[in-house]
Amino acid sequence: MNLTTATDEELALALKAGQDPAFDELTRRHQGRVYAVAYRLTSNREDALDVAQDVLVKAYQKIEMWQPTSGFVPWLMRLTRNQAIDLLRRRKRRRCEPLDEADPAVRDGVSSERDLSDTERQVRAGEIDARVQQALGVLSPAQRVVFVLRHYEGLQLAEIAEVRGCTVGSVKVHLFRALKKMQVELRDLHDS
Amino acid sequence: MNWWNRKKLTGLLAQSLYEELDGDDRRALERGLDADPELRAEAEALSQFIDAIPREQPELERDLLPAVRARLADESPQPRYGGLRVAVAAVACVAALGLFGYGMWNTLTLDTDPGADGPVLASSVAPLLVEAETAVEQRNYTRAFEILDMAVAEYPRDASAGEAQYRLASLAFEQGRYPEAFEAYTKLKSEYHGVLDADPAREAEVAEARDLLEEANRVSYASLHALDVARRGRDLAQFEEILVDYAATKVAELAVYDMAKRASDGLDPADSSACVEAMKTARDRCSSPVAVAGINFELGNVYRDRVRDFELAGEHYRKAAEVPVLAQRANDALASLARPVSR
Repeated sequence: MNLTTATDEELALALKAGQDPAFDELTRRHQGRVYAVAYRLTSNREDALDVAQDVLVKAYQKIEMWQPTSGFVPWLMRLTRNQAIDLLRRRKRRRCEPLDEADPAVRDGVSSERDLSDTERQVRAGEIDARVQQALGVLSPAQRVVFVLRHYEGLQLAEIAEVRGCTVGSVKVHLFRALKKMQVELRDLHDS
Repeated sequence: MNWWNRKKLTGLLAQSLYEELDGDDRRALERGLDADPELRAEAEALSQFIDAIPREQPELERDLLPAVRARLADESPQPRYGGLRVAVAAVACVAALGLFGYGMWNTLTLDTDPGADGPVLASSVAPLLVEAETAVEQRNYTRAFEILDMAVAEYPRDASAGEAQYRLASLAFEQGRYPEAFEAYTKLKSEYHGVLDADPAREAEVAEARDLLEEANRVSYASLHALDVARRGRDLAQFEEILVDYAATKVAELAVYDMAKRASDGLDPADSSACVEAMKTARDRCSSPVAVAGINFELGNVYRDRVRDFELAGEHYRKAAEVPVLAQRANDALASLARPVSR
């Protein structure tokens, strides 16, 4: 099997059969999205890195739990969601709550070698992203998961229902409510 | 338009903003929008709103594969295939000999609790987990508790029962139902250890919570209730009372940190220097020598574990040791500084 051209499901089946290199290819393909989703759910880059690592380790260790009847990505997103929620619960009980990191576009500052308008655009993009991330915080966990997986990851609603273990109708309701809340929170950004 | 129709239409609307609807749904939505100009305006506004939100995701700036591989190598090997063989053998033993009890079966089956990551359709508990989550979102914590409690009671051997037990314990703890939380964590550890074995972070969290509850159980959880009251109030004196009444306990440790946060608005907990300053501010506002000693002890911990200044750590432990109730702990901590491995 050519690992680079195999589908996710073919790679997952190969991993179940004991072909270890399949895991490396799956990790390369999906570590970015696992991290990105974890970040959107936890609002903290370090936590997102921890979650992403935990998810990938779990994916390897629990590959028997994945069934070929469902897609590999929804299963991986379910692991991500569960790990992120677990972390958020632990964070509530920590003595000191972790701070959100500044967005790199803002944190890294201006490079003297960059074109000023590019830098301004980057800073502005970072500001918008920070606002959006803050707005995600007003959503309930279910609304946040649905919004992140639909808007950023492009999962179909049926796949999101699989991730959450609920009906498609429930996903639609959560999505609508998430959009309305975000719209209120980001009214000034939208209007500008 | 009645409530049910509007709910269905808004669901279709949300879906249509991202996906192509099939024929029946598309027609139903169009009819709904034609009949309700307000809804149509809402649809257009939402469409523009979605277009305005960037879709870029944060980039992962490093390759996680080496670290993941290192962890997999370090952690106890998960016998993915050996486990299955053992489980099959166990089934054969139970069937052939009929000697093993229910508890032994649970011990022999390695993958006792895949938790909510497992196949949803095979589990009776998985939909109950979703129902409980919905109740939590609606702040109906009593209902969530009932659902989780019932789920574990009715389906104790379900693939997701361990996850339900974990959530039950966490919810009880968060809601201040401490006796139930202690019981639930104890049961989680004894009967659903699989949920913890596969997740070291969760295992550490549960161990910490259980230790805290076990200690507080000795005073009928009065210490934890006092902390809850102090957290809801505005008075630093309430935290000071906890440091005095429950000196040298885990609850007192939590109270020190809460007091430091309260004493310094905008504390950046990730900043060790800020943490030290906040604790000193809190200490300066205490009148009781026991409370002062308690904060000095925690300062010693911060200097030792985070700032890595062992001289200052020792200095603060020595100050804490001047108060009898903290002397043992402070002297043990001083001894830890003398051990080379701790550095």
